[in-house]
Amino acid sequence: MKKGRYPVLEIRNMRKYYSAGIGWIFGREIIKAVDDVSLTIAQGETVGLVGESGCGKSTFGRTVLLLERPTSGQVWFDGTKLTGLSHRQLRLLRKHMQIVFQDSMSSFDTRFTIAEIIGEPLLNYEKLSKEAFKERIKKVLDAVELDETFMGRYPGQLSGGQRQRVGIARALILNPRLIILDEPMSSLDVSVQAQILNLLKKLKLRYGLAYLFISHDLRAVEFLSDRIAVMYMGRVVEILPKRSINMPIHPYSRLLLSSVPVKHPCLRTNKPIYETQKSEKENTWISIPWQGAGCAFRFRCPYVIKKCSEERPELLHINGEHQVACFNLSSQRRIIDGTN
Amino acid sequence: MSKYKTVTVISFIVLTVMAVMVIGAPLFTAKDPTGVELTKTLRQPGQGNLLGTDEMGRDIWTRLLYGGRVSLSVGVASVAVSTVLGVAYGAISGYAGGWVDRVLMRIIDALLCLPSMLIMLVIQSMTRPSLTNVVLVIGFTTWMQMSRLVRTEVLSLKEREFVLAALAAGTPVWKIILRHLVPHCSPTIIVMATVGVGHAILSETSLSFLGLGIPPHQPSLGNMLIGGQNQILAGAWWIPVFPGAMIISTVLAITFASDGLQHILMLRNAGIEEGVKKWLKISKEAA
Repeated sequence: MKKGRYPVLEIRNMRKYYSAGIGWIFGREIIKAVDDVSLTIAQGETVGLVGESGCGKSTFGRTVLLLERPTSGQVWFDGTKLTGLSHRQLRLLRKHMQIVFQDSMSSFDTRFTIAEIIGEPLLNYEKLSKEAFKERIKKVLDAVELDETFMGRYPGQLSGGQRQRVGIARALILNPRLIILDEPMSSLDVSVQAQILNLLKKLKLRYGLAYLFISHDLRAVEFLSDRIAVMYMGRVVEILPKRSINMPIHPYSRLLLSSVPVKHPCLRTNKPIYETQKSEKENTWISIPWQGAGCAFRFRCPYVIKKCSEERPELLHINGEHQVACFNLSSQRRIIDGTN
Repeated sequence: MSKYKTVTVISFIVLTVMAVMVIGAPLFTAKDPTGVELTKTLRQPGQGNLLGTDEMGRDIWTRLLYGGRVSLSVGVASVAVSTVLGVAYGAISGYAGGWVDRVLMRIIDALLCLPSMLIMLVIQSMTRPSLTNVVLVIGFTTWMQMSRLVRTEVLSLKEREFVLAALAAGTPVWKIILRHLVPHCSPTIIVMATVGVGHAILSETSLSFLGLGIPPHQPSLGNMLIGGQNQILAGAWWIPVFPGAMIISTVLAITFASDGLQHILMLRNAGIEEGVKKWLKISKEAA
């Protein structure tokens, strides 16, 4: 959070655990989807959240809006503690925070027309005449660069990009202060992704929106975000300001960055993609020790030291806004100096 | 497929014709369904009475129309009762989930264990027989199947993202159930309800046949059957045969129609007309 800016959303030590397994005979395994995450988003700020599939990004986004109740931790929105509010009180505050879903098709009721889909949140909070209702929908369609002929259509008749615009329009119509973007572009092709990104940036500047931008596309996150949080196995391992996106410190962030294709052949190096110690099969196997004490990344980390399996690294400020959760910082720095 | 289509179309035609005749009964007969004429008892079909007369000289054709009216309306009304009850119960149970769902479903299991005919008989023998009573008794003993189906559908539907989206949009839970979940179950509900009408008509006739349904002075298909059973040995075959044929053809037509309806509803995407069109096209291709 930049100094002097008012935090619109504050998450303190949020945990969301799921239990999986056959039941009381064989015992249940606890899956820690979100494990002790704290994050602050300022007014008008965009925080990017990146991480591999299944690391808990989407769960985090949903739990922030309390669509799923967190196991523990607090969510503060604009000075109000959301966790602990009743459903009724929460419903009144939902007006100010909206979400755009990953799969635009399944997030719409296929029996509703576009006007009904966009208008649903509006009708939940305001009583409007038919003309005023239509006017509002026209306005918001205009904001997402769709014309009003779309109002009577069904979601199945739209292309992916158009549907995602409708999804954004639905989130915008109540003039929220915060929008959670839950991988809004993963189901789109590249040129449409660029259009949606530009649109999101434009809307952010026009309405002063704060975004929590969840994605696994580092380049998209870089384009839109002011700060980037890197998540691994339900934990935030690094928070870095936009200007240091190319110089991450945590070994996992470096792994993520090295997997992004290089734009120009001249920039290509012959160095292999930053390798991890163990094979893919072992990496994807989630078991209890992964989420026990110690750093979650220690099984894949090439710079693992003894302390990593004994204690859990906390996020530490290393340079202004830059925070890293790693014990073996010195080795990281040396490597960065070597490559850059 | 082609045969299938023919059967469905015929069923729909049969049902429409029956509905028109039964609703507009006074247009098709000038006689009184309860008018006793002791000079004209047990007449054979044809002689001044289209389908003959019964042992009290009442015109069978007229009684068939008015009796069909009673039986069909009992069928439709009791299904309306059981549908409302079953959908509400099932949707609440499915949406709530967890232990609420478990308790509600065990109650249904318990109710399903009791033979519904027995319950109907017990309740009917305790209350005065009347049309409303029959409707309520049939409605309240047949809603469990509907409720189970709706509950299963809601259980899978509520995991879909659009429910989450509605929740995030601030839609209250009752509105999510009414506007999102129940409409998505409508194919199942419609098909179940149509099958239910057939069953309800059968239940009504059985109750009336046992003398516990529609009061005897009112014509109904079941009442006509019980009246006819004593006259078969006297050679008056026409008294039970026509209401019997009416019951069979109605229930069969409803069953086949609901089968076809299920197909149409499965094919439907945006509207019912589209489903009908697609269905006709597929049938034609298969032929």
